[in-house]
Amino acid sequence: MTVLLIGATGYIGSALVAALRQRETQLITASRGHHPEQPGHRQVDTTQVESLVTAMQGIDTVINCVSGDARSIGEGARCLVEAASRAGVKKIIHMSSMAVYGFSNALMDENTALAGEGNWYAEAKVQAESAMAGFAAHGEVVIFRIGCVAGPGSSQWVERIGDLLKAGRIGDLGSQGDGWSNIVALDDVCQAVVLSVYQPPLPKTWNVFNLAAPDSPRWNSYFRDFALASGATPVRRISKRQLQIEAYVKAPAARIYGKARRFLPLLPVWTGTDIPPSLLKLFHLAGKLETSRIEAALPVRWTRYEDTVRQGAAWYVDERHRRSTA
Amino acid sequence: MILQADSVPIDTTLEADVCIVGGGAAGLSAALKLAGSSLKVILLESGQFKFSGDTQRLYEGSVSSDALHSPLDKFRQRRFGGSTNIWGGRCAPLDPIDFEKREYIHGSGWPIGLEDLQPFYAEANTLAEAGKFEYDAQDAENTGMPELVRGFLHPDIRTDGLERFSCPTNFAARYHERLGAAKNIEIYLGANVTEIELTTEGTRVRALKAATLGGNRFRVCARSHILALGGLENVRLLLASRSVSPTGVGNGRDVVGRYYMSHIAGHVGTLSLRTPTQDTHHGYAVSRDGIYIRRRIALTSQAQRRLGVTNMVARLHFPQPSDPAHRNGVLSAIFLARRLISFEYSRRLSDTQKTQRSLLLSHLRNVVLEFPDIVHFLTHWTLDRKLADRKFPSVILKNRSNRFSLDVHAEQIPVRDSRITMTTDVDALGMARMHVDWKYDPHDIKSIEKSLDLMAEAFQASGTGVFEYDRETLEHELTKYGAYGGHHLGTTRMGTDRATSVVDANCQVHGIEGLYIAGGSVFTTSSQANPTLTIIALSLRLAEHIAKNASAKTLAIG
Repeated sequence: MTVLLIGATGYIGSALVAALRQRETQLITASRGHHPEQPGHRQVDTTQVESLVTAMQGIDTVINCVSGDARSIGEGARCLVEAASRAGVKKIIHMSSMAVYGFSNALMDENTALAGEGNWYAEAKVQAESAMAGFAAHGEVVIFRIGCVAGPGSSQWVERIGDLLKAGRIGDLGSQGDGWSNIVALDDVCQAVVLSVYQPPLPKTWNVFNLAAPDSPRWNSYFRDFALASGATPVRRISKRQLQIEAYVKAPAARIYGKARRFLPLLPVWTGTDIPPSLLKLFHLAGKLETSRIEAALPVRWTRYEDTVRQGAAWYVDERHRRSTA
Repeated sequence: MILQADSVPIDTTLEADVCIVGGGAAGLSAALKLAGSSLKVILLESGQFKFSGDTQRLYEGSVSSDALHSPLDKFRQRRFGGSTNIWGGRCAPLDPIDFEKREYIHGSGWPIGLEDLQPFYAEANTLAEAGKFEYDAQDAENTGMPELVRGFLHPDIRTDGLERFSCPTNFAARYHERLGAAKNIEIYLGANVTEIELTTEGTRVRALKAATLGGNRFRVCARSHILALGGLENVRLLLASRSVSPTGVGNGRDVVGRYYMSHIAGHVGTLSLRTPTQDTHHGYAVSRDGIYIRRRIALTSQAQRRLGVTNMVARLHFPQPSDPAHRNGVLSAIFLARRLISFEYSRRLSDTQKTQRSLLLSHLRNVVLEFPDIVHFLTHWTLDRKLADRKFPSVILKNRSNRFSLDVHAEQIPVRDSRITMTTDVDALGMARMHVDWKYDPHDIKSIEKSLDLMAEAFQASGTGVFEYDRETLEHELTKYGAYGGHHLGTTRMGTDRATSVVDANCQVHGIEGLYIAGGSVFTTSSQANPTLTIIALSLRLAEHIAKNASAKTLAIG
């Protein structure tokens, strides 16, 4: 069996390469760039069907880890499905996101209606999933709706959170931090994907799995635990007013400043981390991914939540040290 | 979903798996535990988000002695969120000894132990926003906390026991969104339960009768019912429900409303420390997880058993504000402004006697002389309390004089004749009002005396200071404000013997299937601890028990 991993240089993609190589999978990587360090790496334009068909020659399973802008995600998925059907691929494993559910502040199982309005990322992810559904006429599709991937190297859910905690800009957010974090360790994402690569093929099926650690808590608890583990103490209580100033005054100001810099390149670079309204909404309202389906289907051995936090925080502390000495 | 009880069609019957009566700390905690489960939950709350005088007046009743008990519409709020609208936020778990049968305390011994509550205490702490369940100064997130009084060490005394502070969290404001979003929960505001209807055999609940002040009436029929109306009101509903059992529901053995306990509390004596002033840390520290924490002085359980005394804690407190001899401008200012402070918090500031004119002048002199201190205090109070989401818990004054009083908070021995009864007077909904006759045991005072003596001995022996108090006036000092406001405990106590208890270890009323009680009324004994945290933990445990019985899965509080 030969596996093609598209988007092999991203955060999840590169971890998957390592995990699959460990299992001695016949693995071919693909991405936009040229990567001579990966033997047999195929350079591919994921929005060109022909380019994808060429890359998929002799491939049984395609893993789609492509990220990027709305076009790469949505249009890319459509092209990928078309190419895969033409190249005779048997299985596609597609990385989706909990973003497809929108903000429902409830328990979300795989049958929950998809929302995805008002947010380009969610919209693109929903579009990608519906393109994927089309492949079930030819082969097998496995879709993972992934929570927030935390662990060493995560820029979004470890580094950014660590920086904001350190700066006292987030902490205990009260009711504004009541959303579920749906934290999942990078290792567990890799485990799930590797397991599904080796599942016996189920032709013409379409399977969706939520992918988040069953014991992941609400955001407030994650912030507190991460702050304690990374030494951003004492944990601060942040009022709703402070958060609103972040999202509706500071973040837009930073965006306007960024635009102004295009015309006035002499202005100094703004390097701050923003808390845009969409992030506040996630902290406030994200529902909980229900995980009984994946637990019944794949024997994932979950990393304990405490360990995910501890490992992420340890990496973050080292990384900060590296950044400050660099 | 949060709905109005007036919108329910008149004389209809709503059905649910679980009906919770009361939306305060106890009721909302149970609802939060059941949120997201497969059980359909209806919660009936008398009040609205906003305070209403008409609703609050439903609480009025009579007391045997104005000196010994505050009016029944004080220290409680008939309103969504219940008394979490006005609480101080002090959290502390019960001690292991509180659950034990102690031969020297008649009526002691819970049918459960600390280990049964332990798993729920952690979640209770989260709900109360009091951080981790770490109540010892040696625990990880409390590291770096300075000693109470440097060098104050004695084998019979603990100062590592802590209290942690909630914001204080108003449960309605904090959790209404979470509850409103839960698909399996319906909350009806403005719904007063006026009667528990039993089946003719009296072994099950047929329905709960609800009424609104606007004249609507309906019933709720459920498999499990949780009464979470508060320590006094639980009794009132049980005793007012007489259509099947003439003595009231669950009251076949005349126990409902008896053993009413609060806490014995007061500011006692004078502690003069000999250590440098900077060696005393009588105020709050902030834990690593961001919570205000404070040490208390307590007797070890071994010492309690040896002396045969009730459980008690003491905090280092400022001297009596009413006596201007403290020469503290802030204290004098607080004393002079006491009429501007809400009843619940001003009660312990004012003496019953009229303040003499000469004393007033001395207070004014303190205010003038110490004006910079007052400005500093007001700035701190505004920033750290008034404007802060997490509020600085109470007035702490800088230690200049090395003189303190001891702020005592002690367990009360259950007394059968300390009780709530029904009167012939009725409220606007036609429900009988209650009469409260609070009593305490002379041994309560004796216990505190013995404990204070041991504390005095410990200060003396460690060479850190001298504690003195007047034995003659001790009882007066401890009881001059009567039962500690807001702590309404023991009136439907937990136990195995039906002659002395109302609910079993699972909080189910003896002999009535599916009727459960949550709140301070199930406490078997009162402990030294402020009750809210334990009330929340007991509710979470009860909700889990009900879910388990129905083979439903609950989510972690998170």
